[in-house]
Amino acid sequence: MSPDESPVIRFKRPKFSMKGKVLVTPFEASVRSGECMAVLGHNGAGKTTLFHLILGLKFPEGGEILIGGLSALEFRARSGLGYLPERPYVNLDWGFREFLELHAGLAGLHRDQISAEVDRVSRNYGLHANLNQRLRSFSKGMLQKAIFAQLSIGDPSVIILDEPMSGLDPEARELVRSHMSEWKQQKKTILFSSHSLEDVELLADRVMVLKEGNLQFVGSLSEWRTHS
Amino acid sequence: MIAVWVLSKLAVRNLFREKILYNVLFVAAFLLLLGYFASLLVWGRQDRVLLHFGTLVNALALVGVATGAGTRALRTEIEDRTSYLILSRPVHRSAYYVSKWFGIGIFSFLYAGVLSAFLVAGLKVVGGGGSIGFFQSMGLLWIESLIAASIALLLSLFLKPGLSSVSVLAVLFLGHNHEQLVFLKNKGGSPLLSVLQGITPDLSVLLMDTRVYYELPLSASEFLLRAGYGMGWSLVFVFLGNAVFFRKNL
Repeated sequence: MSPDESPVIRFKRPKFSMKGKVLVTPFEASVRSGECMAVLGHNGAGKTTLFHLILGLKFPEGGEILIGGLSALEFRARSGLGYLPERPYVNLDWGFREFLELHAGLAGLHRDQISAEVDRVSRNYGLHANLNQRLRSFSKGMLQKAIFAQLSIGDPSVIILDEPMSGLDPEARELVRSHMSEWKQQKKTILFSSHSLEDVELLADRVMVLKEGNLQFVGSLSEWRTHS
Repeated sequence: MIAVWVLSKLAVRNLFREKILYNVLFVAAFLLLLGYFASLLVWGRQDRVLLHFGTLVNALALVGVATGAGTRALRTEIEDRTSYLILSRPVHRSAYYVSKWFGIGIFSFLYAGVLSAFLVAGLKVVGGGGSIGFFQSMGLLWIESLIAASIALLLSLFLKPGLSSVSVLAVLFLGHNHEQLVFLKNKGGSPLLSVLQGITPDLSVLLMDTRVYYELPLSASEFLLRAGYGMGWSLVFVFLGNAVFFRKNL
């Protein structure tokens, strides 16, 4: 299924630096609606910073990032984005059910829809039996799955995954791949970073390559291989 | 508005998990017990001794808890990056910030309720009880705790918890000595005094002092005026903090 040609995320020369070091150098690019774009680069290339700019967690000093024609911050505040951070940044004192209910509430679900949604997403990730456990008791892989479960709450149209396969066993990787494929079929716009070319080959429609904050390449993986 | 409510409930739940707040409650209860024993050493109006001592303990506990909660509530979530997932949701940054203040407000209201119950129980034992003036004074103390929390939240955006706590206490100290600030300014002191006077609330407005001990409650209009003054200052600090947080890189 080919992605819709209209760009949903447009990078209009965003620039970001911290403590005098430029982390994202201005560039022009776009991610089309319904496209799955892999962001590649070594550690410190600026992938996470770029994701933070899209999420409105950081603000560009110059230029802007538009999502669906709105500023990233405005889009996020209106519709929300599905987000999986590079590490499981959650309060481990929370219970898993409490964690999911919080996100269901924030996604704007009504009180009587929340419990059904919590049931649905926890079953989807095989964690239904763990709903009453504290997150502290979860293994690294379970935590990763718990965060996947939360991001699918509220059916976000744009999904940002920062190294989604990190810390997962082969079985869980397969589960995540199948969910990502499902999202692709649902025409969700996905941006993910990965160090695994196998995952990129399987899932990405196009790749965006960053090096020390500079955009090096945007195109298909095969074009990138020719290019490099 | 829904997000503010959901996040406020979260802030309250997180505060209930902070063990140190129970320790403060335990210390306050212990000090109230000491106040009770101290009251037994006097003849006549033992309840006034306990009331005097108890109101002071409650004020310190309430402001201490609000300050501690304010310096940590937002800062911890920014440092632990647990704010990332919350802010990936359709939540305005302002809603997130205000919910912290709101959550601390709800928590300190409950805290004030528990402290008042302890004190009223003690007063009953020594033949007194909770008067209107006492409850007015607890209400104004709660508003002072809201001011402390809003300053703490604002400062926590720049400073570590220890330093912001000390700074909040400094502001509260200045606030309680506002009259002296005005006096020194009028005596031709440094221009800094004018600035300090301008940026600190006059917290003596929120103290009822002897009016509580002599059971002289404020009229409804005066109580509302004082409460409004305190709430107004708290909202000023919330507004400032929100303006900073709105464009802060997390």
